[in-house]
This record gives sequence, structure tokens and C-alpha cells, in this order.
Amino acid sequence: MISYIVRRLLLIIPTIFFALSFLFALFFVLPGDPATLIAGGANRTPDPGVIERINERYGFDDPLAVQFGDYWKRTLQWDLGESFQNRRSVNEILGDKAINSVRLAIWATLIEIVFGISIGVLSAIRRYSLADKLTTAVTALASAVPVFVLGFLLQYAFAVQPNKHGWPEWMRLRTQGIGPNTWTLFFIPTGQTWRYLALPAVVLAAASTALAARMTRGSMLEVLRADYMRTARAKGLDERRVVWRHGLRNAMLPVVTLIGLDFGTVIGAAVLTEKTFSWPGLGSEIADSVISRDLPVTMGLTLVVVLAFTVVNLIVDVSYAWFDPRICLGDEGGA
Amino acid sequence: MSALDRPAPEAAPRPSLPEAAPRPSLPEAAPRPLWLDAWRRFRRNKMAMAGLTFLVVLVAAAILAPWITRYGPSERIEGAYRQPPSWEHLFGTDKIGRDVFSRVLYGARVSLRIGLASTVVSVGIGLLLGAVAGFFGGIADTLIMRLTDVFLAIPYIVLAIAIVAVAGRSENSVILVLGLTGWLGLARIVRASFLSLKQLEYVEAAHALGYSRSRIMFRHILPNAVQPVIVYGTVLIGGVILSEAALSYLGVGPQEPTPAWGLMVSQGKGDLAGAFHLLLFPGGAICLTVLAFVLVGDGLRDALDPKLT
Amino acid sequence: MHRSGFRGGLAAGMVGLSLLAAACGGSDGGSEAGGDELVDLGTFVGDPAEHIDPALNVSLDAYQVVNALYDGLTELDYTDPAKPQVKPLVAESYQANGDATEWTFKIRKGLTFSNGEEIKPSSFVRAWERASDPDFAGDYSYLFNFIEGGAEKLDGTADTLAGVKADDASMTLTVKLSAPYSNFAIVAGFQIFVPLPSAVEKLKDQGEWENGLMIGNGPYKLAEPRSDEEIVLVRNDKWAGDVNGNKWADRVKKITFKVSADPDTAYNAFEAGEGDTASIPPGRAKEADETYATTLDVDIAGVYHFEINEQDPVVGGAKNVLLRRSMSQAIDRDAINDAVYDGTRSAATGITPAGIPGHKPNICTACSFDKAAAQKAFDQWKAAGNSLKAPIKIQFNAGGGQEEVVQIIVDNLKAIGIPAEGDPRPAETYFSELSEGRCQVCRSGWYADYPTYDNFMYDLFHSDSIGGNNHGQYDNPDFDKLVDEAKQTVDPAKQAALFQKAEELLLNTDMAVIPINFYKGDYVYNPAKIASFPQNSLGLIAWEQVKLKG
Repeated sequence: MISYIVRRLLLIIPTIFFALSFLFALFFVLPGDPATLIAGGANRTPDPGVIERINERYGFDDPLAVQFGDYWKRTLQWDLGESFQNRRSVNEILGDKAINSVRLAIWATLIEIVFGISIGVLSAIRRYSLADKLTTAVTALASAVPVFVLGFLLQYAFAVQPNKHGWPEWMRLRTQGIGPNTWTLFFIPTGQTWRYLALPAVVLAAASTALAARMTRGSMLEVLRADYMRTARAKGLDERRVVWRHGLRNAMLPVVTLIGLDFGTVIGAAVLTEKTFSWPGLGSEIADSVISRDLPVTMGLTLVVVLAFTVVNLIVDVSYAWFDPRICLGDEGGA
Repeated sequence: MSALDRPAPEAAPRPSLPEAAPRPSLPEAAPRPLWLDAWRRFRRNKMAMAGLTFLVVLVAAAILAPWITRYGPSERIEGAYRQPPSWEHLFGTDKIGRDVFSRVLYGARVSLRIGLASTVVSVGIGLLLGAVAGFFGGIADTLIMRLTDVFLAIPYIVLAIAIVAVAGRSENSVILVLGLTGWLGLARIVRASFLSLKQLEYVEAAHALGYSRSRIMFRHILPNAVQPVIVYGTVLIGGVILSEAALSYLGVGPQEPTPAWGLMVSQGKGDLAGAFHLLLFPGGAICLTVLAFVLVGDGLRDALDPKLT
Repeated sequence: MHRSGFRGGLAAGMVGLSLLAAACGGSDGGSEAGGDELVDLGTFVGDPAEHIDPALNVSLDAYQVVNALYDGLTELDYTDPAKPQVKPLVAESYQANGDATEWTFKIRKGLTFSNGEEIKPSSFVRAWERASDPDFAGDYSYLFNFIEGGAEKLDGTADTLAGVKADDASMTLTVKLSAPYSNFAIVAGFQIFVPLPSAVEKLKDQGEWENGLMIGNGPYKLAEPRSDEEIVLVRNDKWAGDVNGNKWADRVKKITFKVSADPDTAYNAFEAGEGDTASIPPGRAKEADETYATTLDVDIAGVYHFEINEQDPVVGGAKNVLLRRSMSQAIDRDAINDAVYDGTRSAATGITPAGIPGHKPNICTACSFDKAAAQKAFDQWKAAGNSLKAPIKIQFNAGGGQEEVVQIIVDNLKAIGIPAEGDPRPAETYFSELSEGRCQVCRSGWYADYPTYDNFMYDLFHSDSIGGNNHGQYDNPDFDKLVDEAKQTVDPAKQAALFQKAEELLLNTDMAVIPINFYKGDYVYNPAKIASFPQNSLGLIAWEQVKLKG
């Protein structure tokens, strides 16, 4: 087990190295000149002398290999540099955005866990009932609506309409930003902050909750038919106990993986939700930085997103063993 | 690890195959998929049949669009700006006076093209890499699996923006972006299938008979590994169509005057009170089509793998 | 103002975007802001401000903030919006010598920055030398070329601006220009020329200025360093008042500029009461105007137009004048206005908009839709032995809302037999591409930086501006001569006559550009909360004059 974890941790290193090197190389294929950007942004025509001085200072004239080496030398010392665009330090940007992303991801994942699993289990044990059909339809629909459309409709229904009809203040949800940004225990919104969090968290969770519900249902159905369940029932155990004790635990394996990976992914990839709700997170910042060719920001933020992703991935795999002791982690073939 | 197959975790439905999840057991390969049996089972699934019917109608409408619609997709009707649905314009007109019904029908061509083409790219890459990794194992396996890790780790939006920056905003760029990001889950599924299949008796028998490796791989294992791929690919088409909308919203999708659904939705989402039809019709088309692919995918899974139903 | 592509609000390039960016306003009781506070959702839509440092900023959205934070030597008095008057502001008076080559500004005594530091002539020299530092210079630093020694300072061969003399004892600032320029008093009020306190000298990196608690001398000051989410301004109690001596003592206490990513959701937020002002999203002008209050009635000194590359063998040059004329007359500007802009803009009748001193209405003879005339001109052009082998390519910045305009134009051209197609270019690099000569027929737009005729004629069409904003590479020595002469002419009537002659040459003889429409204000605000929301023809909101109800 320990050696497995160590090996996996070591594997993170080449993954990150190649992912970032790939990105770094990609940047030099992209049209757009970093020196121009530093001199004031794209779409400007700065003085050639200015460009020359910037090229010199940042080493843009050096051969790619040298720049590449310099990049890794700095990165290994956690010197992520500063934004070409506004000269803010990448560490600082990272600090701001990562917290917002993680908070949103936590809430979306909580929604996914609570609603995804319970809806899935309920529709599995009430298979073919009206409720089952209804939840099947709703979950299918939830995963078929473009995220920004869902976000837009919810904004309209829970923020615009309440305001137009003068609903009481607390019933109006907010559409933009993180609000007062007050939290306890890192992730519990206090004061008015929940009104800002509610819509983006729901929208971000929608598709994955639907998927988690579908998966839980499928997995439960399979488990409910399994031999040991029949045995448990035959032993005269109460049906509820059979379902919750024996069934759920076994059915949870794929679902836990799904949810874990969702969490890892969503930290850096909630671009649409972040854009729709102006939630200042990592995903939209990365997207903007690529668009504006802000190399240090892209590289720095991606580094952290990749790290988060791989670590969460590892945790998911390890927690597997806890759910299903039959799995031997040393065995690569199973993963 | 199916969770990451789709490019945008927020955007696309992922195939919810049990096979797709990393679990120790894999579908037992029936030596011969009994396609007739499968079709019989599929037909009994009402939801899947509804999805299939919708898709057939959609494809027909896309092909026959020039005969069904009265206006071309880019034809402007002077003065008829943002008109609500009427007999003349079943789905109304857009901001600059184009017939939305026509644009939605022609848009089906775009969406289906993007969906099919990029899924073909994904399936191609996924099959090849997954098969090589699963069949040969060893260094090839390690390299390919690390490659998928690398790709999984890079936020897909970075790739999307980069590809579009180099190749320009177009349908083909979208196909490229989604094709290049959609194969990761497929590769894993195929690899897992190969891993388990190559240990089965008939494969061992083939080895014993002295068949070449490639013959074993392509003639004996591959046909049995395609079932999950078909199911996965079907759902992926839906996911791709949804992702096109996401890319459009982010400004890296196809562009005017292409009648792409995602583009129409992201342009039409604004005015709910004044011109709801600009959101409703292309949005509805996306929703129904994605749903149809998901339903058909579910039906296929159940039909091909009867033990699950 | 300067064009920007996709991201800035200010820029002409941004028209689409800045259009998007406007609306705001909570409905009654809904707004987050208290009774004497204002939340704006209309200024930063799409992206946060790239720069709010007056030396670096090039976009209109951030100029809204800069304008609230800083006062310049002069200011424009918009009491009569059609005839802006330049008046001294931080200067008490100013004077030019006979040929407008040397300007003397007498600085008002007792004015201070928000930190209490006194404003002296040297405060200007400090700011100007910083803004013309070649390692720091922003995109507007070319304006220092107007000043003697500015070119040397900009290319790093001089450490100081030779033409600028500050005498703190007598509170005078003397500026020697490199060439006569009669409109310098107006330009001197522009953002890059505002004074800065001594605090900037202590910075290790001048880039830090705008990321910290930047100190200014305007009616407002930063309440906290800016973030990507918002910029918060509060009253600067040390502010001495505006150009007319009004102190606007009851001006809004606090202004929060919120950044939102998408124009439609920003408008949702406005309608949900999260803000008091917003930007009108495309196509929703009518609705916004009916439901709330807007600045749609404000004529913005800006023009939306298509440039034609004069060096292009297909459309450029003297032999293709008739082709260009037919293109210009084939375009149905009213249809564009109705379909794309909800009928809110006004069809362009020239390149120089109303509100620019010297503006002559209806100066263009081929800028109105006349299909028959267009057909005739095209036929004549063909009869002269010309033909089009490939469709004319119309470049535009993708994703900024230009697609629809270009579609209509392509349609219009096809209607008289001119094959054309849209050529969408990436917004991020669109204008740099044009500067490098990519334009065949290309969309552009221009907001005046300051209300002078030369800000259109010189910046957009003079041969000096090739490689810059003269994307059509228009190069006519006669035109240059008229513009150069006009710039140096002190008498306003004579100056106007010269500029008009130049514009007629440009539009009616050479047919070098196709004007489409003149901009209008694009803010929407909540009338239940805001009593007045004055926007001037440069697009700037006079924040100190915004009045709340009750």
C-alpha cells in the first residue's frame, strides 16, 4: 500500500513535467508576441525599441531550449513569475482564484454526493415507478442542457423574476461574483455569501449529479441482483438493511470514483459556470490567460490544477481499497 | 476512468457504462455478439426506440433540409428582424432576419457532422492506443497510459483555445479539438477489454495455433472489444454536440454564418422576454439530440450486455 | 478612444463589446448598494481593466475609472454637448504663443492630491517623464512626440523632456512643442498628461502603481487596491471642484465597479437588482429603454466604419474609385441600424461625428444607401475593363458582434453583383494585424480620445499613421498637407475649413473609407434609484455629477 502510494506520487512528476512542457511548447506555436503583450497588450503597436528591450529583459530572444530550461529552473523554486498583462505575481493570482475554485468545487461535489446518490438509490429500489421514470427523465435532461443555458435560465428564474416581483430579500439569489465572501471553517458561507454561492454551485453540480444518479441507479440494480444480496435476504435480514448495508456499499465503488474525479477536474475546469456567474476561479482565469497569451499565468495556474487533479486522483484510488478490500492496489491491470 | 472522458466536465454527458468505471471485472466477451438478439432486445426498450426514431427523423430532416425549408440558412428577409414564430417562419426569425427553422435544420447537419467526425477521430485514436496498450502491455502500456494522464491533466479549454488560435475558428477546428480530447476514456476502456480478453481461452488457443499477433489482435480480440466502444461512442456523439455549444459560448466554436446550434444558442440566450424563440429552438434541438444519443447509448448497452438488464 | 479588440471597452474595436457592456440598475429596493452608493455593472464587461494607470490605459472602460481618479490641466465643459469648450482645470489659465508652439500653464495654488500632497508644476513633469520612459511607456506615449524632446525621450536617448519646464515657485509649466499644434490645450487634459504625486518615485517597479492604492487628484479615490472582481472608489474629500467651480459636495459616496464576464448575465444581474447601472446587451436597446433609463440619446463622438486598403490591387488605388463608391452606396445603413442596433445609432454622414468642433453635417456624398447609383457606378467600373476575380474579403474581429453587420453588407454587395465574403480574424490580434497591412476591406471604429478634428483626420488617415491606426494605408500628400496645415492653424473657423476640405477629399474624391454609423451612449440605469447619469460625447460618465434619488 505505502509503496503503491509512493510509486503513484513519483508518477505525478513525469505527468506534470510533460503536461507543462507540452503547454510551454504550445505557446510558441501560437500567434501573438509576448513582448507586445508586456508593452501594453495585444492589438497595440508599440515602439520597436520598447519591444527589443522587453525581449532582452525576459529572454524571449533566447533559443527555445534555453527559455525552456530557465522556465523549469524557476518553476522548481516555485518562482511562478508575474503576469505579462498586469504584472501581478502569479502566486498572488493563484491564492485568490484557487480558494474560490475549491469552495465552489466542494459545494458542487456535496450536491453531487447528496442528491446524486440518494436519487440513484431511490430510483433503483423503486424501479419502474413513476418516481423512477421522472428522475430518469430529469437527470437525462439535466445532462443534456448546455451549462450556460441552464445558468442563464436559473438566473432569470431565481434572481431577475424575484426582483421584478418584489420577493423578500432573502429569497433572491445573486448572479454575479462571490459577494461579501465570508466563510467559516473555510467552506461554509456565512452572512449573505450563500446567496451568491447557491446558483453557481447548483449549475456546476447539475450534470455530474445527474450522472452520479444514473450511475448509482445502474450500479445498485446490478448489486441488488447479486448472489450475496440474495443470501442476505434469505437470511431474513430486513430489506432496508439489505439495501443500505450491503447493497449501497458495494454499489458505491464506481460512483465514488466518478465523484472523486469530478472534484479533481472541476477545480480547474469549471470555466462555463465561472464565466456565467463571474465567479473568480481558476478555470476562467486559465482560459483568459491563454486567450491573452499570458504565459506565466497559464503555466502557473495549470501547474496547480494538474497537481490538484493528480493528487485527488490518487486519493480516489486509495480510497477504493477502503471501499473494496478485494482490490489489490499493486495490480496495475485493474486500474 | 470515465469521469474525464468528456472534455468539459460541466458540459457533456458521459457514458455511464459500468465498463467504463475502473473496476476489476470486465464484460465477458461473448465469442459472437448475437446482433439479432441484441436488436430484439433494443426494440423492446421504448426509450431507446424513441431516441433512435428521433435521430432517424433528424438525419432525414438534415439531409432533406433544402426541400423542407422555404428559406436558405443564410438568407436574410429584409425587415423581418427577430419575429416570433408564425406560419411563415415556424421558428421565427433571428436578429438580422434569417429563418430560424431553416437555420436549425441546416444546423443539424453541422452538429451531426461535428458529432460524428470528432467521435470517429476519438474512437480511432482510442482504439489504436487502447489496443496497443492492452495487448502488448509493458513499456507500450506504460507510455500510453502516462500519455493519457498528461492529456487528462491539461485543462481541455487550453487545448481548445490553442488549436483555434492556430487553425482559426471553424467547424474543423471544433472537430479537431473535441476529437483530440475525447479519446482518453475510450483508450482506457479498450485497454481494459484487451487486458481481460487476451487471457481468455480462445485467445490462448489462437496463440497456441501459431496465429500472428496482429491477426489475434484484429481478428480475435478487437471484434469482442468493440461493444463497449459502440456504446461509449454513441453517448460521446451527444457529448460532443453539447461541447460545441460550450466552445461557442467561450468564443472558440464555429462562427457566423455557420448555422451551428451552439452558436445560435449563445447568441440567442440574452433576450428571454423579447425573443425567447432564439434560445428555445436551437437550445431544444441540442437538448433533444443529446438526449436521443444518451437514450440510444443506454439501449445499446442493455441490448449488448443482457446481464445488466 | 483608441481601438481595442475584443477585450477592452473603450476601443473602437470594441464597439460590439462596449455595446454589450452597458446596463445596470437595480430595481427598487433590490440594489445591494445603500442610499448614497452606486454599483456599476456596465463598465467592465468581459474582462477586468487591464490598466488603470493613466500612463498605460488605452481602453474606454478603464478611462471611466481614471477620469474619476484624476484631473488634468484642462477639462472639457459639456454644458452644451454639441460644443464642448476646453477650460483650464488644474491649470488656472493657459496661454499659447502666436504660432501655438509654446504653451504656458499657470497651475492653481492650493490644490492637493488625495493624500494631501500639493500639486505643483513638477507633479506634471514627474508624471510625463514617467509616462514617456521607454521601458514603461504605454500605447499613448506617442503623444509625447508633440513635445520638443519627446521623441528623444521615448527612444531612450534623453532622460528628460527637453521642451518641458516646471517652475514651482511661480507655479508655471511651460511646454514647447515640436511643431505648432493649436489643439494642444485639449490634448493636455487627456489621461496620459495628468499629474502624479511623489509617491510614484519610491516604487521599485512602476507597474505596481496601479495595483496598489494609486493616489490621484480627482473627485474620487481608490478605497482599496483594485481586484479582478471590482474596483471601489470613494469620495476624495480633498477635491477642489470641477471646471466650473462646482464642488458636487453631495456626490455619490462610493462607487463600485463590478466586473462581469458576459454581457447577458451582467444584464441579468442588473435586472436582479445587483447593480444600478449596466451596459445594454446587443439587440436589447429597445427593451432596456422601455423598462429603465438609458444614455441612448447621447451622441458619442465615435464612428463605426470600414476601411479600404488603398494599396490593395483589387479595391485600392485611383482606378477603383468607382468600385469603392458603388460599395459605399450599396450598403443599407438603416437596415444595419435596425437589425443589429435596434435602431439606436445614427447613420454616418461622414467620418467626423457631431460633437467634434468643426464637424460639418452630411459631408459625405456617397454614404447613403442608393442601390441604383451603386449599380451604375459598379457597371461603369466594369465597363472600364475591370472585373473581380475573387470575392472581396471583409475583415472583422470575430466574436465582437460584428458578424451580423458583415452579413448584411455581404448581402447588400451581392445584391448589385459584387461578390464578397466575411473574413473573421481573431479578436486578440485583429488591430495589430490590420496595422501590419492585413486589411482589404476591414471593419474598424473609433472613439475620439479628445474632441478634435485631427483626432480623426490625423490619427486615422494621415500617412504618419500608417503602421498605426491608418489600416487602409491611405497615403495622399494633398490630404496630408491639408491636415498638417489645419493642425497648425490657430483660428478655429479657418482650421475647420481646412479639415473639412481634407475630409471631402478623403470621402468624396478618394472614397478611401466607408462610414457606417455614429455611436450612441450604451449605459442603462435604474431610474428608481438614479436621477441623472450624465455621459459626455467622449463616452465618459461624469461620476461626480451622478445624482441619486431621495
